[in-house]
Amino acid sequence: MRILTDWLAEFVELPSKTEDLARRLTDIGLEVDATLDLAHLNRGVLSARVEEISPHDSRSDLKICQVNDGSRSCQVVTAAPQVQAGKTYLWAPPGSFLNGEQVETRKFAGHDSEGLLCSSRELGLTTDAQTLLNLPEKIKPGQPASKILDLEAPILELDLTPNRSDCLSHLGVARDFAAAENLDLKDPRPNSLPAGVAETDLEVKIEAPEACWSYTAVPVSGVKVAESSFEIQKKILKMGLRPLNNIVDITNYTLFEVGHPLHPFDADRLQLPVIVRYARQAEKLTTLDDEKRQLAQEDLVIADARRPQALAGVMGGAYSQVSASTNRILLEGAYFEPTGIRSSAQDHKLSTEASHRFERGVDPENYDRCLARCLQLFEQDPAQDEEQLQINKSVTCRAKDAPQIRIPYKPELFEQIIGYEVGPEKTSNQLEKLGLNVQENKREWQVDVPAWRSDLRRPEDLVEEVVRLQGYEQIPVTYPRLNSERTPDHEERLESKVRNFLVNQGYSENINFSFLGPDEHRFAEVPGEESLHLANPLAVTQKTMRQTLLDSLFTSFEDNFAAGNEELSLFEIGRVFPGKSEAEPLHLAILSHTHIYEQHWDDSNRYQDFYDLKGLLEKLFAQLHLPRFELKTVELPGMMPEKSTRIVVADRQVGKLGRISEDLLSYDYPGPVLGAELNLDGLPEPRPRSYSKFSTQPPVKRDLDLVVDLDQQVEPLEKTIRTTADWLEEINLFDLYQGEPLPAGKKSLSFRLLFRAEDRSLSDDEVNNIQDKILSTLQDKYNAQLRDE
Amino acid sequence: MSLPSPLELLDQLESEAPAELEDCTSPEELEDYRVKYLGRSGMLRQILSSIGEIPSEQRPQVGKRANALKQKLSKKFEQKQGKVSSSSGSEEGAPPFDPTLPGRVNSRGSKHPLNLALERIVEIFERMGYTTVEGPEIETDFYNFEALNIPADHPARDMHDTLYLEDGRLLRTHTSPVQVHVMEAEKPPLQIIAPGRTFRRDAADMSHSPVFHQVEGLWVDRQATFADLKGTLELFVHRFFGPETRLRFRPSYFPFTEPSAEVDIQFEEAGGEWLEILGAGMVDPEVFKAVGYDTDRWQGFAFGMGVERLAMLKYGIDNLQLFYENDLRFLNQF
Repeated sequence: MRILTDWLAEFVELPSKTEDLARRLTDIGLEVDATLDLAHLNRGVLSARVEEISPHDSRSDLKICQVNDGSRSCQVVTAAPQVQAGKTYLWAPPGSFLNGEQVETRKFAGHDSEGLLCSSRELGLTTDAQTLLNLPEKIKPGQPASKILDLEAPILELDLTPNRSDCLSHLGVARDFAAAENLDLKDPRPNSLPAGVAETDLEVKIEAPEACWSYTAVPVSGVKVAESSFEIQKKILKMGLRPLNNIVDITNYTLFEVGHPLHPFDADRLQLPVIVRYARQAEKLTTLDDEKRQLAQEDLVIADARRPQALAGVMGGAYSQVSASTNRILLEGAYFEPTGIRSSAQDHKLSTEASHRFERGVDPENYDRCLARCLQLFEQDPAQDEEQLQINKSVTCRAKDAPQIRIPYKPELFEQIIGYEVGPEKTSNQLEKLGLNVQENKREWQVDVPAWRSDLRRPEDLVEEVVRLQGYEQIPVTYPRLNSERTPDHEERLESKVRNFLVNQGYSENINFSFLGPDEHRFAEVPGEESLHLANPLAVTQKTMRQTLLDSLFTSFEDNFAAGNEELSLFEIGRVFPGKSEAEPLHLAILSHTHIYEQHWDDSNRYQDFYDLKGLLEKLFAQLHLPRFELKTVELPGMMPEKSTRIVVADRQVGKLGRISEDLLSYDYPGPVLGAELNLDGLPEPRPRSYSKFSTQPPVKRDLDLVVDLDQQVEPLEKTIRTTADWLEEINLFDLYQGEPLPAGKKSLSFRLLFRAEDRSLSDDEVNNIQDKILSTLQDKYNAQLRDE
Repeated sequence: MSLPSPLELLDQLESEAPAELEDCTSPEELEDYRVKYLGRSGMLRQILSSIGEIPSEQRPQVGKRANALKQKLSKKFEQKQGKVSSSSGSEEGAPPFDPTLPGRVNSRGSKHPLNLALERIVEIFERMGYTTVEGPEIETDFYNFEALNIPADHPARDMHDTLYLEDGRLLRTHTSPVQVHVMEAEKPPLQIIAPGRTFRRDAADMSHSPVFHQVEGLWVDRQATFADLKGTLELFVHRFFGPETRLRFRPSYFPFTEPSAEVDIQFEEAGGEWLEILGAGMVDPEVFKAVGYDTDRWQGFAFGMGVERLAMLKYGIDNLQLFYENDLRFLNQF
């Protein structure tokens, strides 16, 4: 919310420097996000009269104007349809600044434009559509914009927390600042509504007392609707709104000044009584923004005898809005209960200045004073005819009284929570300054909360008020007492171990979004429609929760390749969301397309292949002290069928490893693209680390050259050797060969075996016997033969 | 004197041949060695071709040993050959030894900067006595909002633009629900941190992302005060950003803490600009009530910080989207 420092200064004395004010407001919890110096941002912009307008030769939407600032005449091209000769506008000449950007002479469709005529949006005032800023006739050409619009006083951009609805106005901010600084507050509100000239036939009914506690309507007749005074317009503009007419502008002015949203109806458009009720089935309302809205039965409306005329607390209706022909108005002030307003505003996707305040809770007690202030401003409006304007007797319907909040408070609570002591006298002064009423008793105080502080309900809330006004910098710095029993005692987490291992092995970690688009399900084994879907994604590419990490990692893999990063070894660790299940297992995914060395100068280099990635996982398992895994060939989505395997350890399927299918690859990769995914939560417990004695006897090494069928897998052979051979300590496949002179359909495997006994040195005979035993077993089981020369 | 039997010859070769290879220092000597032992009419060939002369029961054994020896010698020979050629710089055609040629490195690898920052944050708090816990990324309305004193239709929900699943659950908008899970399961006192992914319905830009990371902290005991919270966070900031970093605590609002604070930091070189880094406060009694803690006996503080924000400030990253684009030219800088 914007706070105009010159407006604020009408109610409380401000420090001379704006940065001091901003810091103090931030210190008491009213955070100043930015300070806007519109005079500086728009330096050089000045008033100029449009002397002559000629049409553009080729573009009907453009006009060529001669503008004069009193000292020179220049040509300006404008697209503003309402520009009129003889009128004065704000002109940003070349060299001036417009909302911080320097203005230059530019060509528009073939014609030079020396600067431009400004809209309030271009000046950084409003965010609405481009319409030229109208200046009053008395403004002479050549005057700086900062003087005309009073831009010299900086504007504060406040980022208010939702509990501080009492500060959603200049008066509210001034009140909190005055309390913090112990200053006097000048409240612009009259103490009560004017008595009113005459009774009218006005009648108000509240049919929804929980949603509307009270409702006041003030009939005003003899109203003249016109442009509001330039003083009002300037403030409205600086608050970011476009001025409409005096009645609407003054109502908004009152809102920004004293914080209570009020609404003016065209009284001639209403058929009495005014009824506050819930909408009925199939009722419709066209709101001020010209939207025809289907109302729900939960929507609170202000209706007349026939139909809804306003969406209560959110927006008025178009039919009964104040227009140029309005003569009598009905000014509404009311207290609407926050949650109902909030759900209406949300259901209709309509957030207004009014709903923003009602849903945070406005002052239920003092809105008549805000009405009185608004009526006072009507009376001061130069457009009104004193003789004509008549404020009549108001009618209030009160369905429910606002509860008086009384909080029992023990002053020592402050020290208990905050950690230092503030004396009772200081505490009670502080609370009184905020408008709270403190009755000090010995043991427990009674503190009455004013109606505008709906956020104060409990003793802790009072502690916050005191500590906030004392200033957080007063709080000492201490350290909590450590509870040693509770201090962490665990090994490095699996996730960190895996991450550190992969980084050390040359892999780069990625972090991807947890959701993806419908065509990104390349590796998921459960069909896409069974995934978890978001109900309100920002984009369809963020709709589906990922089932596998490879799916999201593959996208960043390809993006990297496209960006020229051709050596890729990537991994990600993160949770996945298997459809239907409530579990969120932690996965690891790896994708690689890389040489075994960074480009190297000799011929020892090559692309990583399947066995390199398998080896990486073997090393990872070894380092994690996990049992060895096995790979089972099985067709999996996204993998080449012949190089697609399931990783199995201790009878559990824990992941997959394979070469990525060519069909998925968008680019021409010179080497194989390999991928793996592991369910880290599914891994077995690591083997306990414990010492077992090793033999100090000499080893006996033997090579075993076997010839087997070409499709014979190695692992069963190796397993058989392990189970058959006594004293076998190590087995290592060191050669694999097929081709001449071996017969077709055969391959040779060379194992190096290392034998060792614990207690003695093995004799050749003993080892020969074992070797023979191995050989005959392999012959029987796998038709393996010894390779001869 | 008869010729040595093939077996005797094999014994001799096994003991002498490796040693002889060791003595070879020039390519010429190596070639002589190759002819002598491994060549077409070398000694190993001779043994294998005379295998018919030995008793048939010894044949497999001799064959095996001869083959094994041949392989062993061939391998050693190749290794030796490599050494001899690379050390004899004077040899024609072989380049002189150049220690400045690049070494063989595999790709360098890098931890994601978010995890780098996250691990450091966790490390600092664990050393202060906090235990790390994790919670689910998919949450219910109760844990994400209700139990944290954010009822439905409360404007505080505007601070959390939430992504909902079709089944009505939601992606947690902060790591604070982990607090609730832990307090439901454990009795006080406790001191925990909860790092993890969080989600909001924010379009990605320089400073927003629908996926981001937070670390939540919670300390509950009989007398944990705001002053303790201040000390804890000051210590954290000084360890994470350096001891010269300045801190500012200012009042704020979170439904699950009262009083609440926002913490800004200022680097000396940043010239007065205060940068918001985290939110904190004393645990609101409503939160304790929701998990059944006795508010007369227990009090505590909680804090939550955005990892992206901290990492950006620590490493000088100006665009949050870089974290999720995963371009190696970015990642490999860390």
